Amino acid sequence: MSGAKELIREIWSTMEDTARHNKKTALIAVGAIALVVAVLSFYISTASKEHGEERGKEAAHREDEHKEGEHGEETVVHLSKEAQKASGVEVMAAALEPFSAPIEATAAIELDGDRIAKISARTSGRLVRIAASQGDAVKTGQALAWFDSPELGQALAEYAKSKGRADLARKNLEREETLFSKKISPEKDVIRARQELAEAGADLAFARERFHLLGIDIDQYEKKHEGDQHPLIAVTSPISGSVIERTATQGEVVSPEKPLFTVADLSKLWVIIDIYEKDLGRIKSGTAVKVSTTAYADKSFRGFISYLGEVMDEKTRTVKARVEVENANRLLKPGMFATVTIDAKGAQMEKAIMLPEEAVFLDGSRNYVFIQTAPEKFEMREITAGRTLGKRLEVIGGIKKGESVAVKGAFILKSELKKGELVDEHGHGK
Amino acid sequence: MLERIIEYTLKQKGMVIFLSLLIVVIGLYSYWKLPIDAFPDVTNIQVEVVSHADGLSAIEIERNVTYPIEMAMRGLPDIEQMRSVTKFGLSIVTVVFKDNVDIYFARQLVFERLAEAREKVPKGVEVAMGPIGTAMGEIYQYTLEGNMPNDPAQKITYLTNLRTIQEWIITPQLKSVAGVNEINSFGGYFKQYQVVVFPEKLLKYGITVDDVYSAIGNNNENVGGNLLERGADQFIVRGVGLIKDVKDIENIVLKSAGGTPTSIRDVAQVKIGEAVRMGAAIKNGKDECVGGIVMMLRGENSRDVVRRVAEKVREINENNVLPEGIRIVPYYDRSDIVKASVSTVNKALIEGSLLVLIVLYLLLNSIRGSIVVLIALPLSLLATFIVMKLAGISANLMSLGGLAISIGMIIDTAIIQVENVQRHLSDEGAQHPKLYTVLRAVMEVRKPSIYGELIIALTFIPILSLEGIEGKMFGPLAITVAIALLASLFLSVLVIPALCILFLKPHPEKESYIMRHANRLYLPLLDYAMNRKRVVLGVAGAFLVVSLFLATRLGTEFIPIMDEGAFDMDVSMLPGVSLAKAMEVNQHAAAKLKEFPELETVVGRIGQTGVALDTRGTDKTGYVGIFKPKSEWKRDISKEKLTNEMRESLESIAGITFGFSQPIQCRIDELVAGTRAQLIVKLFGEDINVLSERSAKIAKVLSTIKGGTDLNAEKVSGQPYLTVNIDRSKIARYGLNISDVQKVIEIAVAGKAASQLYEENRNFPIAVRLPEEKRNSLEAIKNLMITTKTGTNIPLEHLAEVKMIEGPVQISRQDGMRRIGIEMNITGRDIGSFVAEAKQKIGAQVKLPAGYYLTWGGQFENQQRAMNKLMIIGPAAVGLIMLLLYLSFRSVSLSLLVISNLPFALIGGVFALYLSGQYLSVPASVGFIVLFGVAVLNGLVLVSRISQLREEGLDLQEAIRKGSLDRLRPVLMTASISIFSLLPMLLAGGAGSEIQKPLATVVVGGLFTSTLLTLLIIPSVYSWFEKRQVEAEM
Repeated sequence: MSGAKELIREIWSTMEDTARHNKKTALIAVGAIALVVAVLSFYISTASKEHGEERGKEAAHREDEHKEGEHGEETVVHLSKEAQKASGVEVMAAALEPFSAPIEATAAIELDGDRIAKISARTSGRLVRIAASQGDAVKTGQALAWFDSPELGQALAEYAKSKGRADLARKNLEREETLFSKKISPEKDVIRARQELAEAGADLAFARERFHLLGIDIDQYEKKHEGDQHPLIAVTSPISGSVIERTATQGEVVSPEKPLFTVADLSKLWVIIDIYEKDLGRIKSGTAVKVSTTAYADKSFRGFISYLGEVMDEKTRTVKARVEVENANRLLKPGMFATVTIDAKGAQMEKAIMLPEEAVFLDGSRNYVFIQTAPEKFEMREITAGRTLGKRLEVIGGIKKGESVAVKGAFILKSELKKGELVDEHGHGK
Repeated sequence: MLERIIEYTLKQKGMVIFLSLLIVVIGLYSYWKLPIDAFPDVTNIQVEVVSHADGLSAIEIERNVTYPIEMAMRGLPDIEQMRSVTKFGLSIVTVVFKDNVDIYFARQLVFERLAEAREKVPKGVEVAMGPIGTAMGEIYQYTLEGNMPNDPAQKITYLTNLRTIQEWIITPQLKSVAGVNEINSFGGYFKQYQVVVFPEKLLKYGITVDDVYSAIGNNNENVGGNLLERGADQFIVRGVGLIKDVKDIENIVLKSAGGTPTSIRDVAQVKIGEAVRMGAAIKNGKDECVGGIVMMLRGENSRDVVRRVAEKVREINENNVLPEGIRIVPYYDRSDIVKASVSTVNKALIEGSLLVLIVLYLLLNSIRGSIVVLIALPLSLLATFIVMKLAGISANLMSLGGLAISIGMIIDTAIIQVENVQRHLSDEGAQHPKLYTVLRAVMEVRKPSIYGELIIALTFIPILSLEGIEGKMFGPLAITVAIALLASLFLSVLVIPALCILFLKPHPEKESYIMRHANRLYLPLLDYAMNRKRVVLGVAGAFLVVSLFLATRLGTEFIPIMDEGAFDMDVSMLPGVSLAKAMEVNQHAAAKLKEFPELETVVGRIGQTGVALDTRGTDKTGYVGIFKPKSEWKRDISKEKLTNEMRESLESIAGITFGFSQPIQCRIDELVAGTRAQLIVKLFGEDINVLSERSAKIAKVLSTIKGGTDLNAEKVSGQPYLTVNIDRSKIARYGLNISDVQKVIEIAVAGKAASQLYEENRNFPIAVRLPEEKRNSLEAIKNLMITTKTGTNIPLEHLAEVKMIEGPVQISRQDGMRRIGIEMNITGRDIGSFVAEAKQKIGAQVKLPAGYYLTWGGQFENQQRAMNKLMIIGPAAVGLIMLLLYLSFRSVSLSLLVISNLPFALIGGVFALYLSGQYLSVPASVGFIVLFGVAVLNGLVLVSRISQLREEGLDLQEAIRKGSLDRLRPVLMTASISIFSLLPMLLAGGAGSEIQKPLATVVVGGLFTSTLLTLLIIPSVYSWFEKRQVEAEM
C-alpha cells in the first residue's frame, strides 16, 4: 500500500518536473511510468496467483504419494496414537473362542408321567372314612380312605356258600372213596365226587379272588372277625408321594371310574419344550439344559433332555422335547411357564473367532473390520460374518487368529476413511 | 414558479420556522417509532410441502411422494425454483416463488395443488404445508438452567422434567407474545407413559401385544350422554372413562377366564418414562440441556419482538412460574446484533456529520454559513425519517447506511446555496435589499443544484431493479438515499433560502486559509493543464488504462460477510451414527471450542430434537456459539483468524467434518440456495451411484484448491437399515397378514402410542413396547413372537428375513432432477477466482458421463445474477444521467463533456479497491453507481458556471479560468464533504461495517481522482466541446 502511495507521489513529481521542460518528454515519461505501473501490478497479482497454484500443485503431488502407498485404493486410515486414545479406539487380537450359542425355548412344567397315580375305589360303594387330605405325604400301600361296599357282602356270601359247598364236596368224596374201597359203590361215584370237589374248590378260589380284587385279605379277616359284620374296603396309594388332589368326600358313593385321589411324586418333574425346526439339529437326548422361571429369577434348575419328540406339530411347526428336572425342594410347580436354555456346546466344542458387534461395520451390504497393521495405521478388511451370539459375532472368513482388530471405535475409523475419500488428509482443503 | 415559491418563503419566515419545527417534531416521532432491524429480510418467497411417510425408504418416498408432489406443483405461476430433499420417512418439497408474489397468495396456490397431490401419494402419507419460514426468524434462544443431578438415571428424569416444563409451561407463555410465530424446543427427553409388556407373560395368558395395544385405546374415553331432566333440574350426563394415571392403565382388563380377570398389571410393567429420542442438545460441551428457539413471524420487527420476549422471560423467571431452581437463561439474542449494527451505522452517521461540519467550516470560513448547514442536515435526516415511516421502510443496516452515504449529498444543495448567497452578500454588500440578493443568489445555483440532486437520486433508481438478496439488501439503501435527496431538495427550496436570509450577513469575504492555498495551488495547475492538454489527457488516459487493467484483476464476491458476533457450525458424522456416539464425539468437540476464551456460550443440537420439519439425522449437529464482546477479548485476533484456529482445533477430532457459518447468514444460505455454506457445486444426473462417485471425485479436486474450507459433500448413501423382509409364502402358511407382522414390529420395537393420557391440559402418549433386552439386538428382533390366528407363537425369523444393510440417506432434487451437492466456504480468497479455478480443474480432471452436469450455486449464483444485472444497471444509470444533463444544458456536447468525467471517477474507485485488498462485490458496484452521480454533479457545477459566464459574454479563455476559479470552492467542498462524510464508514470496524466498506471505498477513491481531474481536465478540454457546439450551431 505505502509503496503504491509513493509510486503515485513519484508520478506526480516527475510529471511536474517534466512538464516544466517540454511536452514530448513529459508524454514519454508519463507513458513509461504508466507502463511500469501496469507491469508491476500485473506482476504482483500474477505472483500471488502463481504462489497459490504452486501450493495446489504441491498438495496434488503429495496426494499422489499418498495414493501410491495405498495401491490406489482407499482402504487405509492413519490415526495418531493420541487421536486413537481421544476417540476411544481399542484394539484386540483376534482369538479362537469356544462358540456356544445357547438355544432358548419356552416351556411348560408338567408332572412326571412316571410318578403320578390316580387313585379310585376298587369297586362301587359308599365312602365311610377318609384318612388323607390334599398335600399329605403318603407311602406306597398307605390307606387313604375306607368304603363300604355291597359287593363285599355279596362276595362274603358267595365265599361262605362256596366254602360250605367245598366242605360238603370234600366230605362227600371221602365218603365215596370209603364206599368204593369197600366196593360198595362204583368208581363212577368217586369220580363224580372228585369232580364236584374240584368244582367247589374252583368256586371257592374264585370267591377268594374277588376279595383280593376288593383289596381285602380274607384270611386275616376271618381270623379277626369270625363271621361278624362285613369289613370296610381301604383305598390305598400305589406310590409314595403327596396327595395333590382329593375329590373324595365322606359318604359319597364311589365307583372304580371316578378317581378319588391323585398322588404324585414331585421330586422329579417334566418340562415340555417346543423346539423350532432350525434348532433341531443341535439337540439330542441327554443334552443338559438349564430351566429358569420368572418366579425364581436368580435361580436356575438343572436337567437333561430325556425324550425328543418323533412328530412335528403341524400347527406350531415345533417338536416337543421332554426335560427331566430334579425338584427336591419342591420349588417348581407343575403348570409354571419356564424358559429352557439348551447349552448346545456340550455336544461338540466348536471354536470360532468371535468379535463384538461394534467391531464390525457395514459398507453397502458387506461387513468389514479394521485391522491394525502398524501402530497408527488401520486397514479395512472385508469379513464373512457367521452366526450371532448375543452381542458377539462369529467371523467365518477374512481375518486370521492373532490379527489385531479394532474392537472399539471402528465407527470413527470408518468416518476418517470416508472423509479421506473426500479430502486428502494433508490437503489444506479442509 | 420556483422563483415565486422561494420568494414567498423568503417573505414568510415564520411559516418556514414553523414548518421546520413541524419536521423536527414529526421526524423525531417517526424515528422513535421506526421499526429497527439488523438486516433487511432477504428471504425469498417459498412454500414447503412436508410429507411424512413412516417406514418408507428414501427411494420409495422419492418415487411415490416427492415426485407426484413435484409434478402437481409444476406449472404454478411465477415459480422460480423447486427443490426437494427426501429422507427415510420424510419428504420436503420447497417451491420458491418470484419475489413479487405475496407469500399468502403463494401458499394458497400451493394449497390448491396439494389436494391433487394428496390423491396421488400412497395411503397413510401425511402431506402438509410447512410454516412460513424466514431467515430472520430465530431471534431468541435460551436454555433452562437448574441443578442438574449427577446420577445418570436421575439426570434422565430431570431432563424429561425440563422438557415437559419447556413444552407445557414456557412454550404456551412465549407463544402468546405478539410477533412470535412458534417456539422450537430442543434437548431432553419426551415424557411418556410406558406399558412394558413381557412376552413370556403374554404367552402364559394367551394375550397378544396387539390386544394390549387396543385395550388401552378402548379404555380411555369420555362420552357425552346428553341431558337428563329431573324435576326442575337439568343434568348433563357424562360417561367418564379417561385414564388418569399409571394405576388406571394397570387396571385395564385384557380378558377374563373363569371369572379371573387378567389386567395389564399382570402382563406388563406400567411406568412413566421417556420416549426414544432422535436428538439431544449439549451446552458448553458439558451437560445435556433443554431449551428453545423463539421464531419470529415473517415481516415482524425483531427488535420489538425480542424486547417483548425478553420481558416475558423476565416475568416467567421472577414470578415463580417455573419450579424451584429452574430459570430461563438466554444465550442468543437477535437484538444484540441489531443494536451493534445499528450503532455502527449511527456512529458512522454522527461522525460523518461532525466531520462534514468541521470541513465545512474550514472551507467556508463562516460560522453563520455553517450554522445554516448545521440546521439543514438534521432537518433533511428527520424529513427522511418521516417519509421512511410513512413508506414502511425499516431502519436497518442498509437503510441507515444509505443515509450515512447520502449525508454528503444531501447537504450539497444547502452548501451550494449558502456559499453562493454568502458570496453575493459579500460581493454586493448592502447595495441591494437583502431579500433580492439572496433570491438572486439562490436562483443562480438553482438549476445546477436541483439537477445535481436529481441526477444522484436518479442513479439510485436503477439499483431498485436488483433482484434476489442483493435487491432486498440494496433496495432499501437506494430508496433511502433517494428519499433523503428528495427531502433535501424540498428543504433547499422551502427552508434553506429563508435560513440564509435569517443567518447570513454581508461581510467582507475572509477567504479561508485552506481555500487561499487551494486557489494559489490551483491556478498554475489550471494554466498548465489548459496549455498542455495532450500531456494532461495522456496522463489521465494512462491511469485509465491501468485502472481498467486492474479492474480485470480484482477479485469478485457477492456481498462481504457481516460479523454477527456469533457463529453457526455444523458438524457432520457418518449417517447412521448412534446418538450416544454422536453425543460423545460432540461433547468432545464442544469442549475443544470452549477452550477458546473468546467464546461465551456454545450450544450444540444433535439430530432431530423437536422440529418435525428438521431433516437432520443424528449424524448432523448444529452449533450456535456466541462470542464475548470484542472488548473483552484478551488477544488481538481477527474473527477470521479465530475461526481458522477453531478449525484447526477441531481438525484433531477424528471422524467429523464441519463447516462454519453465522446464524443469520447460514439461514439465508439455507433458505435461499438450499445449502448451509457460501458455495455449492450441484451435480445433476439420474443414477445415485454415479452421482455419489463423481461428487467424491469433484470434492477431491476441490480440496486441492486454495481458499476452500469446510468442504462437505452431501452423503446420499451409508444409512444402516435393519430390514425385515416379510416372506409372503411363509406368512400364508400360518394364515397371517403382512399387517399382523408389521403391527408387532411397530409396537414391539418402535413403541407405538396406543392412546394419550391427559394431565390437565398436557397430554402424553401411552406407548406399548417390549422390554429393552427383547428388542435391542438383531437376535432379539429375530425372536419377536408373532401370534397366529390359532393362538400359537412363531418367531419373526420364521416369517421374514431380518438383515442389516446400508441404504440411501437422502435424495436431493432440484427442478425435477436428482442432484448431489458439495458445499464449501471460501476464506482468504474471492469467490469469483475460486470458482474459475475450480471450474477449470474439475473440467480437466473429472469426466462426466452424458446426462450429468454441474452448476454452481450459493453466493456465486447470487453474485453472477447481481453482476449480470449490474451490467445493465450501470449503463442505464449513465444513460439517465446523460438524459438529465441534456435537459439541463440542451447541448449534447456539453453533456458529453460532463459525462467524460466518469471514466476518471472509475480510476480512483478501482485503485482504492485494489489497494485496500477488497473485492468487486455488489456494494462496490453500487458504490460505482453512486460515485458516477456525485462525479457528474461536480462536472455539472463547473460546466454550467463556465457556460453561464460565456453567455454573459466573457471570452472563452477568460470564462474558463474565471468559471473554474469560481467553482473551485464548491467543487472542493462537495468532494471533500462527500469524502469526509464517508470516512467513518471506511474506517469503522463494528458489526455490519463490512457490507458498506467497499461502497465507501469506491466513492472516496473515485471522488478523489474525479475531483482532481474534473478541475483540470474539464477546463482544459472545454474549448473543444464548445467549439464543436458553435460549429454545430453554425
